[in-house]
Amino acid sequence: MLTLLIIIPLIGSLIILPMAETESLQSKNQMKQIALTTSLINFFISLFLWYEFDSTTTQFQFVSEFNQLNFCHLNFGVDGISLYFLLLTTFVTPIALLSNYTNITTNLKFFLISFLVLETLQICAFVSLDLLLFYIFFESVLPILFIVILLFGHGTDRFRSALLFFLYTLAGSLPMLLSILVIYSYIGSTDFQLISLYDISLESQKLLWLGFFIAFAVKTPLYPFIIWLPKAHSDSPLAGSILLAGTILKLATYGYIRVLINILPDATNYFSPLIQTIAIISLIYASFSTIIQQDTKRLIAYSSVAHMAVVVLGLFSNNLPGIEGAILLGIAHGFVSPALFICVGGVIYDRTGTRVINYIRGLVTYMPVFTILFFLFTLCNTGIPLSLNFLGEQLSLIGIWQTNPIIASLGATGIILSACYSIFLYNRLSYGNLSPYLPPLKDINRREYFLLISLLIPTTIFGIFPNVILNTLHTSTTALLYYN
Amino acid sequence: MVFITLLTLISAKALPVLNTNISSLHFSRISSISFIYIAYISFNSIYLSCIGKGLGIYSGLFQITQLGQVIEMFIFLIGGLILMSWPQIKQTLDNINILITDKYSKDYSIIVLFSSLGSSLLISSLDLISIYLSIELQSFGLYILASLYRNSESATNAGLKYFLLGGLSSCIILLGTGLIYSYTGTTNLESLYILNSISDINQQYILQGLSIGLILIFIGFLFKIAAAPLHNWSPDVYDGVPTIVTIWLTIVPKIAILILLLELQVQLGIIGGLKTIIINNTGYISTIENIGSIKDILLLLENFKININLNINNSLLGLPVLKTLIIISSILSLIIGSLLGLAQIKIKRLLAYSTISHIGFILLALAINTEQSIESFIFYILQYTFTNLNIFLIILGLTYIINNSIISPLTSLASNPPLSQDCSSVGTREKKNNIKIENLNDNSIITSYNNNEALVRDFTLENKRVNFEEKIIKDINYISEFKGLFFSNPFLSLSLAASLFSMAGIPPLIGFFSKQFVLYSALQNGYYFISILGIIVSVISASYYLKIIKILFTESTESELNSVSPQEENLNKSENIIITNTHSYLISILTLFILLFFIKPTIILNSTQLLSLSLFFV
Repeated sequence: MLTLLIIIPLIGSLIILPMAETESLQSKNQMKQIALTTSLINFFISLFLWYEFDSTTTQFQFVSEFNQLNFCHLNFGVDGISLYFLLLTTFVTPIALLSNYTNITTNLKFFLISFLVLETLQICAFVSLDLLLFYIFFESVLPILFIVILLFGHGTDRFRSALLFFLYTLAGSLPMLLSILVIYSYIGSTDFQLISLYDISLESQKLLWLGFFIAFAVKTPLYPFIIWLPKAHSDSPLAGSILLAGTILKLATYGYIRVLINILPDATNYFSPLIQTIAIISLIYASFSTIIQQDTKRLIAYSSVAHMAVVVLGLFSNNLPGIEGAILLGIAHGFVSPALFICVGGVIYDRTGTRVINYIRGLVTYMPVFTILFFLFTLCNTGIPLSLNFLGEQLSLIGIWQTNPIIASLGATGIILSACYSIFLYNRLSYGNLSPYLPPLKDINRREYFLLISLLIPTTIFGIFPNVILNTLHTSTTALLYYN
Repeated sequence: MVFITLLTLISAKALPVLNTNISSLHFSRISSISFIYIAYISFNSIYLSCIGKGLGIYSGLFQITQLGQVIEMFIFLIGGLILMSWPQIKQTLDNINILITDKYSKDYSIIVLFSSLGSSLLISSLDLISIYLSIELQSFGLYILASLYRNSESATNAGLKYFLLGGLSSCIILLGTGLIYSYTGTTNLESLYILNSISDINQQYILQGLSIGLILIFIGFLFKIAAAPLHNWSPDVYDGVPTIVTIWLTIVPKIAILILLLELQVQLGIIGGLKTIIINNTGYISTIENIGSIKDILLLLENFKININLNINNSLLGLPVLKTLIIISSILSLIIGSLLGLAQIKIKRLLAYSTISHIGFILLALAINTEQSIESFIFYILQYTFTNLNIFLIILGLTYIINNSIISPLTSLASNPPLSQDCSSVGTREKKNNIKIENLNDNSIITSYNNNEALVRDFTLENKRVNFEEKIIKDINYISEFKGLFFSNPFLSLSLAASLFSMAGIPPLIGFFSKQFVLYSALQNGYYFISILGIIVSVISASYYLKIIKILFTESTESELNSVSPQEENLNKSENIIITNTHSYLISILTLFILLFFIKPTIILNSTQLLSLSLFFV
């Protein structure tokens, strides 16, 4: 079934490939429909996979092996941790495709194909059970996203953003490659299951840990490495931002769990004060810089930095609520952040052509339905009860409180600050006099409504019934805990 | 076997003398086919059981080994592929297909045959004399090749520079050969290996001479492959000569020389184990094997100094010196290749620097000298050749497309072209791209357009269905000329981007795997410092590859394009000029190979592994 998930987007892109890209609307619609259908089929297959998933075991399920590769052990499989990231990917891809459904007219074929291929690559990264393959797929999204940002991005500065994104991630992940190669030379294999059985001495674990940590810290992003993220988000096309916030950042979250906590537990324990400090710094720093942003997309991007810092806090709390909360918050962020991007970068930007907050005011006059949805997502972003974000933040902070109350109370300021910037943004955009710069605007259309509502429903449903997710997480995350 | 077919090829070179009226297109095709035929023959001879672990022929002047056979096959194959793409442009004007070829292509094919004969002999040499002779055969071909385009000032300039500096390095090689001969009294490599393995401390003076000679020879060869401290000629030469010549210069001679270095290094490397023991006895250096960090290297150098000063042991020791030499050269190549590449605005200079940094990786693999690193060494060479070939083929293709879209409006309006206007339109286009072209260069181009146009007019009068035309094709010089190519030639630009990403070492592409193998073997042998340097350097060099890709994918503003020539240019760009079928098939095959390598890597990896094992007598 995993093979199906991986192959279907490729088949879709192969169907689109020979189609001639003409000026006629019909052929373009046909291509878009094929791409969308493909990604939806993939989503339903992944739902079926979730239904079939057996939550009582920590074993990898749906394992499929290919023995063609001799440099590593190519096998795919899902356990409780990767399952939700997989679901998130298949869910976000159709959203991303739909979000730029009408406003990309040139090079449409390239756009569709690249997003389908990106879906395959991300799924591969989440389900591959081999460290080297994880690295390969982790990196392979880079060139495609680079070209997507260059081709479809907004703004004159997009090359610099794309370059920063590319070089930061590449420079961060090459130490990871070295660590992987060292592990390979210690153990003679890069298979996750084999490595986790093997006992690496603390001294070498520390070095390896640092190599991996740099890669994931760049991708998360944590404090010294966050410059690329707001730039890449604000200059990439809407679908690119959605994908970046929704799933690409989760590659790092997944990496923390799968590699650092699972394979190098001693070093993780040793370094957890360090990583908690870094996370707190990036949380507060990002929250404050979020408040002063003038560009709406940059603002959302900075707020993702703050949320991801809470995720990191939860992950390194070394207890069940912390880790589960971090995963929940990761998923919630994967719903809410794309929704906010659609609100500011899609709905408002399509109508007004600007992302600068000062020019936009009093949207509620013309767009009542939109402002309601926007308000709901703003609340979710601040983490009010009944949303998945609330549960995630709450559990993460509970977890970190058990480890270190000071860190937890500092981390809790993140909630207040997130309320500040979210509500502040919403207030400035929606209320006040109608900005004189704005033409009369139409309220959201059917496509945008369905986009937003389909993101809102899972956020609230899982916020009310989190056990749907938590039940499958329990067994897998229990295995991650470290006992001295 | 191989040599017989080579001889027939030399006689094939008499062809243009016999009948000068044979078309140059046919000529390059014939030689391309013969290249592939030789490749086939050497492929056949791999399976001859008598080769075993190597077979000396011609009274020990040459040898045949499995590795040599495979690499020979590879060289000939690549040669055939390069010739296949010889400048041909299919231009469709009013249903007349014109195949345009270059007037130098006859000479090119002949010289290339000579040069590759030299390369194949070099690979299989087993004697210092034959090494010297074949490196000269190879290099002289290249010197002539570089200055083949006599009318271009830059090409002759580059050719002369190449000749002088290449001659210098040949002198150094010859000096090394002479030293070895004067100390040991033999030039046969086999005897040298034996001598090296049985010698003990009492015979250090022989070893000293041997190692000095070997160092000189190695320096000469490093010069020829443009490794770092000796790299200065390569960007000038690559940039000066036309692209079609640059392809040959960057790819084929380097393979042969690197394989020869591998042969020398491996043979002396097995014996090198003894040397470390000798040093351990003297107590200067405990771990020679781990020359991982600069500190170690400095320590090592210091120790050599001490050794020389104290005159204990007389040791300029065979292998560690060579190893240190190669490692230093590799470090410098990595750094210089990636840092200086950042400042380049000319495409071929940039590629020259990227070649230098890749040579750094290759030399690193060579210096480590274990089964694994040799495997990665061979794989890196194969991979790099394919990727480089692909990049240059694409650049060639783009050259035809870009530069002929300037010419074609003129030819299509051949009835009344006021020439002055043509020149000015060329000029404005160049200004638009912010390109400064030297006056001399510009004039020569315009004159060639003149001739060219007359030719075209003749042909159209004759109304032939297929015409062959000969002219000089202008090269792409600056990266900025690629601007916005994605929008006119999406597939070519995507393949160029894929090859560049592969060179930068982005995972699913083939370039990543070669880097990974080199780094892996480096890490396994404790070369931590160099591996960290390697990754830093590959990030730096990634930024200049990205610069090219950025230019490919940023749109040139439409208004500028239209102001020069309304619509016509675009039309011609998209419809009239096509690169030939063989050329585009070649590019697509190579690109697919680069992209899809990771799906089934076993074929190449297994063969490289077998080859490296065959060197270690397993």
